[in-house]
Amino acid sequence: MSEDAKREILASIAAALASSRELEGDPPPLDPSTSRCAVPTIAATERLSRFRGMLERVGAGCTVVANLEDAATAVRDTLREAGAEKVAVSNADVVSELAQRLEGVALVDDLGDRAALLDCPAGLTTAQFGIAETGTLVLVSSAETHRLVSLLPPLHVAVLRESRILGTLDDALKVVGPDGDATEISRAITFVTGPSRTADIELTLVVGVHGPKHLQVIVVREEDSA
Amino acid sequence: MNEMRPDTFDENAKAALQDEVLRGALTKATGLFGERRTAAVEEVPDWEPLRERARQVKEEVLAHLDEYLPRFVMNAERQGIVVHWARDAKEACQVVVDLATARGVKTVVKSKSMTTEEIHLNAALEREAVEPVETDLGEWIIQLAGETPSHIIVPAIHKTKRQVAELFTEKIGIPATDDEKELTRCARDVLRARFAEADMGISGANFAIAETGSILLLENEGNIRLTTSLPRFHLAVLGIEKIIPTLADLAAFLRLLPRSGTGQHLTSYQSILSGPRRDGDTEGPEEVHVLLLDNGRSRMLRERVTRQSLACIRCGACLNACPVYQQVGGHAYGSVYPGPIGAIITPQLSGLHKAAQLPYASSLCGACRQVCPVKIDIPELLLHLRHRIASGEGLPGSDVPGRPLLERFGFKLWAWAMRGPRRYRIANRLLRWLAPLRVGPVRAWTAARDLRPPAKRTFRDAWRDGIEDPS
Amino acid sequence: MRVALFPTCLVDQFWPSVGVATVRVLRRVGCEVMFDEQLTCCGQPAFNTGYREEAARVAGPVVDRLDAMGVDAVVVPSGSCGAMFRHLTEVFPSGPRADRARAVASMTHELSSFLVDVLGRTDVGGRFDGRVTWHDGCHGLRELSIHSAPRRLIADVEGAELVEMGSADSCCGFGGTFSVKYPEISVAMLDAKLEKLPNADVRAVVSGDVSCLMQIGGRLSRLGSPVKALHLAELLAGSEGAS
Ligand code: SF4
Repeated sequence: MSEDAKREILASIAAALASSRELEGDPPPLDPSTSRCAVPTIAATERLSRFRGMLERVGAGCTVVANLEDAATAVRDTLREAGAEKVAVSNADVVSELAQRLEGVALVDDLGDRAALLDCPAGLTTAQFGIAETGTLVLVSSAETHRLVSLLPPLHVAVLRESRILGTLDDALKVVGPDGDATEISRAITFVTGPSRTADIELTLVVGVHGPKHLQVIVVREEDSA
Repeated sequence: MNEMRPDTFDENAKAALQDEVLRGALTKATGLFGERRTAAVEEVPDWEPLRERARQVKEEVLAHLDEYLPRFVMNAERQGIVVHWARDAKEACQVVVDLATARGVKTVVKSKSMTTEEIHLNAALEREAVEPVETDLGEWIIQLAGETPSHIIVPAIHKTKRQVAELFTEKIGIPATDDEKELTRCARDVLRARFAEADMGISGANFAIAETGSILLLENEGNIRLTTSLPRFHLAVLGIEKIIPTLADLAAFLRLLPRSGTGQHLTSYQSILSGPRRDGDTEGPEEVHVLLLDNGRSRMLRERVTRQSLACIRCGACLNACPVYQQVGGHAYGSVYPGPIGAIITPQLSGLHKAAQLPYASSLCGACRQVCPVKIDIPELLLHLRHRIASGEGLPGSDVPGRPLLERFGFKLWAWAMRGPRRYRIANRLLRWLAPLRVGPVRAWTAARDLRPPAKRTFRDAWRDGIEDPS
Repeated sequence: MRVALFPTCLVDQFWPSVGVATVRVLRRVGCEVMFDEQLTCCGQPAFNTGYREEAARVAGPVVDRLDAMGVDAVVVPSGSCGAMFRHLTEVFPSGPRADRARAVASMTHELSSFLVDVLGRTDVGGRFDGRVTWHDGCHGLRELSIHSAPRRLIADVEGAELVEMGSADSCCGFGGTFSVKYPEISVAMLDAKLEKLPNADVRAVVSGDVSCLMQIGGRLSRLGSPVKALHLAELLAGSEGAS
């Protein structure tokens, strides 16, 4: 059935377009002057402050720390403030390193154990990139197992190296795309900009509807820390 | 609740105008979204070039869909995505039902998708004892209430907090509350359990990228991320028009869509999904399928003017800007697609004869065209459809609607009268004689408005007598 | 400058004082005004309802005559009919009339835009005593980009003060046959607009379109409001009493 459907739909498209081309001619080709990059990229020196400002606008927290040691402290503080005694951790190296320094916090690291993840008050991951233009984290699934850890718990703590903050959406789409770092596009690329939100009841904003209620981003400035 | 149909728009609209709660909600929502949109757009210095770029990209794809669609399919299949095709709603539902039953699926979690509403998928699943659970908060409220969405972005815009609370008390047994935070938390808990047990997730897609075979979904709640990552089987249902050429093209649309829809600079989440989990992965669905739906779309490619309708990215801006929608809301249109976009798309998808009122449900004010992020000339399309109705030409693939005979006769008479000065004079006398009788259009006019009486001395009379300057 | 006045069918039949006022204003700024009895209607009512053939039958002789009059410009006291002249190229897509339609369309101007943008005049010598508010007709605003011209003209009318309403650019609900096909919606749209009328003792809602004014004025009078509907030409001519 699907084969018939496919053939018929493609034939119908071809017939419609043939008739359009005959009567109206080919439409003008894409005008290259309407550039793809309508937004000029943001200079490296300005990215962190823009990134941070945009995060704050969407109600996410942002802590900038000097090194991994301080990042561990920041993570610990964030968990303590949220009253989280357990944290789910992704499989990123940096996350494992941080996890070792979180005395007193139980770790959930079996990423196949859905029940445990669903029950966990916090999740700790890294982000592969940040986008200064929009205050966005880019999570690339081929680099880290963090689809669920970043989504299921009510608190998501994400660690990001400053050098990974890109300028614009265009820059980000370039690096995750087929001609960027990866030879093949990753199975799931998730852009995260702030906490989960809804305004479906009388247009009143409520955070934490299906995903995290709170997003805390910890930006690590030191370059050789991991 | 009576099912509303597009061919009873006049009756539906009259009922809506009587509903004070609805109208209050509409005023609030459309006003708020309108203001937020304006503020968000002002932040972007190159808004107009951006719209123009997006329009061109869409037109490029649609005018060459015979190349872009196969390219998308080839790349999707290369990523391990299984692609299905459906000519119409019935076939689409059959494909989905077969996929679900073959896998023994009992519960399906769904994220908001207008395309699945267009084909009435939920009813089809229920008939086969597969339970569809809407997971977008607004959609879930609507599903619990047994209603249909009234707005593209905020489906339950017509429901007050109190009504939602009463509904929750009745259906899920929570204690009465009028705190939207508490209501939202209850919804989260109930739906988390449904997510955990579901064997299949069904989503739509905002864009499908030809270059990579990926689909992109935008959202704020996180239910789409759950739908597409928790169940072992993910199916995305999308119209064949959703294709864009490359990943890089997304940037323009990501800047346009959220700003136009909700006035956000970006929604909370965008998921770019490119296939099932691989060996060694511990997360992501084991199977990812895509269902491509035609259902009347391919014939819209035939002309540039109708083709534009397929460029719509369903942002909802035209609804908020539309003075008719602001008064009557979404249900009156009797279709999944309400407002200006609905008025042009519904007659083309369902057949002109089934929705012949909708192209006239507009004052042609042009507010929709002004806000549309992909520059669809909605008034041009409304005029086009009106012409196809009035002339009796109809549309390709659609029955010819009945022609309004009296109106047609009226315009023939009018054209005769306007053609020459002498006839025109007779018409003036006729008008002066007819107007006080208050029949037909005059009656419709005078129900709530006074009619200025036709002048005894027309302008041309004054001109003939000579127009003096006042001293 | 020799200009042809295209008064529009509504002005001619329902509101002739607007045509008279337009003639006076145009003469006051030094134009030689021409008129011809063949100038009946631009075809818009039929075109907007889907009757393109009928629109062509009506607009055809108008286009021919305007083309033959040998004037420098055509002035229309209506944004809506002014915009319709642009659509005439769709009504006459080919043939000898296509060229004529294009030529006529390119020399046709809505009144306020003609005065301000073509002639560079904002003070045309009108007088009016009191506050007024302005309604942007949709087609003038969105198809001809008429926004500042009428406001500048009003600002220069002696004694008149412009008070903006919050909803100047929202549709009045007229919409041609829409107003009688869906009268309830049409009136609801208007009421939503009128809710935002400024409280400040406004004497008149002024607009550049008689169609909008029939809608607005008809409702105001039904509601017993003292606020009048007034065409810009009447305000500029200083002949408010004529209506
Ligand atoms: S027609 Fe334009 S404004 Fe309306 S929903 Fe579609 S994209 Fe948005």
